[in-house]
Amino acid sequence: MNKRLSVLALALTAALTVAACATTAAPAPQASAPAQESASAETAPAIKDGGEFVYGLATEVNNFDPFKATTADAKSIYFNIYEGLVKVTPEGTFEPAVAESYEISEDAKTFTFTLRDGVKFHNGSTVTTKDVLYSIQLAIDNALNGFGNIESIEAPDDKTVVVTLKEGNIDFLSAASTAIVPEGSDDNGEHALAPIGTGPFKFGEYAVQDYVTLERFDDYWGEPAHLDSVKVKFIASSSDYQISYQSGAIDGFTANAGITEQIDKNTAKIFVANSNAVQLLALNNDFEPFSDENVRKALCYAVDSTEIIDTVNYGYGVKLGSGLIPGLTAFYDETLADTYDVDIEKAKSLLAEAGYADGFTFTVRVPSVYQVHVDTAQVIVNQLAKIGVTMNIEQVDWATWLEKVYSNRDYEATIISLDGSIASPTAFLARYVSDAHNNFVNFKSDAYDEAYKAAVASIDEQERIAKFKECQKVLADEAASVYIQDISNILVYNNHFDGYVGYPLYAVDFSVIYKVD
Amino acid sequence: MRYIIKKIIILILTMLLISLFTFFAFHIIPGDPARLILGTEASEEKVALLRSQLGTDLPLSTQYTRWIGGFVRGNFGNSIRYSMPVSDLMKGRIEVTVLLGLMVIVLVLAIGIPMGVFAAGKKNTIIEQIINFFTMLGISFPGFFLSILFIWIFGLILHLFTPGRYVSYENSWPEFWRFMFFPALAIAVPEIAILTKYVRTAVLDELSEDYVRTAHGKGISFYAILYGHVLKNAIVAIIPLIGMMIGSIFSGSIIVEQVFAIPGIGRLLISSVTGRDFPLTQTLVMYVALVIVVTNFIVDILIQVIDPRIRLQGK
Repeated sequence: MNKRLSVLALALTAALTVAACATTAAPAPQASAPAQESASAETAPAIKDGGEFVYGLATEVNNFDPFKATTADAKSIYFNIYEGLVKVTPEGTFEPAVAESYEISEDAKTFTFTLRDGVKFHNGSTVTTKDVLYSIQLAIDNALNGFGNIESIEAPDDKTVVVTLKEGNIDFLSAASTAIVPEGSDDNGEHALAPIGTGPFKFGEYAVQDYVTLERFDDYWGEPAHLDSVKVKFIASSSDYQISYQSGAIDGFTANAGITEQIDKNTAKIFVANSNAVQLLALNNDFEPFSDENVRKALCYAVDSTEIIDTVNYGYGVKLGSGLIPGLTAFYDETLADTYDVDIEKAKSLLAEAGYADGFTFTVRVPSVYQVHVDTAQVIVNQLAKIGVTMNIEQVDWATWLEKVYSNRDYEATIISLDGSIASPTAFLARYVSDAHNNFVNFKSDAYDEAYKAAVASIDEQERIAKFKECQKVLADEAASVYIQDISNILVYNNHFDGYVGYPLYAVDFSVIYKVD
Repeated sequence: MRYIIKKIIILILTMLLISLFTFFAFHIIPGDPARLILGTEASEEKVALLRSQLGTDLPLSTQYTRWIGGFVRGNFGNSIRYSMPVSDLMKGRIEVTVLLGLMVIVLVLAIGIPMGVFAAGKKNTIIEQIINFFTMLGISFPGFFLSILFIWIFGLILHLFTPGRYVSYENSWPEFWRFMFFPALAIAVPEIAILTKYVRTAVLDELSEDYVRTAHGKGISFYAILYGHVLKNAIVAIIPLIGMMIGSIFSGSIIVEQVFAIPGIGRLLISSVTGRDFPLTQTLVMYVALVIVVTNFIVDILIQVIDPRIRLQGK
């Protein structure tokens, strides 16, 4: 029996090994920011409607419930199926969608939405206030961010929905971009595999581990999509993008910048976009040397973000100095990116001041599924060696990272990109409040807590902006962690397709893609 | 009969042991399926809510007895990541892997046995050296490396198939076989090499038996002895090897399915492990184990039917 068991053990070991190196997991970065580069900029070809676009995706989307499935890749796909009362614009503001207009009371406690006439669901029925109430209730039941603050929801007439909050919060508007679905459509969990929304594409066919198709929704209230359909093809791993693209199995995909070195730019359209995630060397502020602000600052002075961007990302990345993405232009403070210019001597003296003149040793836990973070770790090892600090790299699989590092905060340092589920500064900055459930860096600062509280409570746009900028400044000044960059993503289409719009959150807008000949 | 009953009892005990191993192995390694599904942005309440919906907050012993109880009754439970019953997920995927496996077996037998016999016939010649060289090469190549090599050569250079574009047999059988041929070959190559060596040795052993010399002395031609007597006896020695091969073909397909993006059992197993989809992983492992254990059981029975001397050892 020994041999047989060992064969099985072998199979399992093999499975685990491959699993560890082959999959990309949840919050991978994606699209945004206007295209900065279009490699084959031919004379603008006429837009031709119709056709199918095959989009490669290295992770599998296996749940289409907008209230449950929140892996970043799932969100990027169902962006095309669902719409909220409002929806995000490429600039990061919100415009009416299922609602025709909205009004926010002076104290930001009452949000009044007026429904647009004749918005249809994919099943043919027209959106009513009942559907809206049902959808908001689902969001509350599923504890979605922002919905815990709701005091009451009501529909005074058949075109109006009024949401009353417990505490005034202007940011509720970003939460109002959550999907609107037909009343009763998820009473038995149907959303997971039979989603119905109001977006430009309706759900087509889903083949497990193979593909999902989206078909153009002809009764869409807004600008209809150009393509007849989109086939999202699940490929085995991100290293297979190039093979599938070159063989013609897929027409387009989103990948890390390294891909530009491997793609024939004469036959491809390349769009560069921010990933809208903050890559950082997260330092556990409760871990012995990192509890000292001077030690954290020393690391900030020693780590050269520009070198990381150039070597790991072929120059495609935006240097960061704090915890917010540049995509949220109104709130982003770009001056902070230069808070710590590389200064080895200063770093050394800060270490000496903290009592670590001879340096120290720590371990960085890196999720092995993200090659970019593993590569970044290797560059940082050399940079820290210059100030006598030894960093050991420990690679862990994604599930382990989530549990040990993220949930249990059992780590010394890690490298990760943090993304936002909604286009709001709160999605990035809430985690640094001292008692936040997701404050996995254990950052504690009274100045920060105060500024953040003021920012959230404020209903004056200018004051909000000022306070959120103050938050970013505290993060930089007190060196919450070592902020590195917003990694750029590269969108590649073959030359039969064109059209691209980016958003300051994780989304791929298929409705703007069109076929060219 | 006593022999068979004893074998069946061992079979059941093996399966029970495997069920314990797989269940606890996947619960010891870190990773919370609820957190994995919801990602880093989800609030604690949301994760806790999902955990209780999934039943992963129950004590381990309760989870195990629930699962094994359902399993015995044919209820494999619901997948955590795919919102469907495990049995629905396995349908359609088992066929793919089984068809892949059959293709591998056909390739292995159709190439391995003739090659082995041929090699035995060419003992002490340069041709034997060449065959030896290639079998060594074949054994040394790992399946995933061959897969990548095949994708590059047959897919991207020769365009014999389109890498990344799997075609379901429901749509087109010829296209399905065309796509599946190269993954099957990638799994088959190391097995062919092993079988060739094994057959060669078995045939050479057989050839040194006394009856061969006698037959030779009677003036029967070498090839008549080879195909009439030697091969038949040699094959008996090969049957256990084929039983073992089922196991390595399965483990080979786990990796190769991943590289070629074939939606079969293997790829499902990998994604279920990374996604900590316990009900799915456990059922898949049990399924694979069952296939291997039962195949070996059949092989044991088969051998003893062919050669009753083994029964005596069994007692």
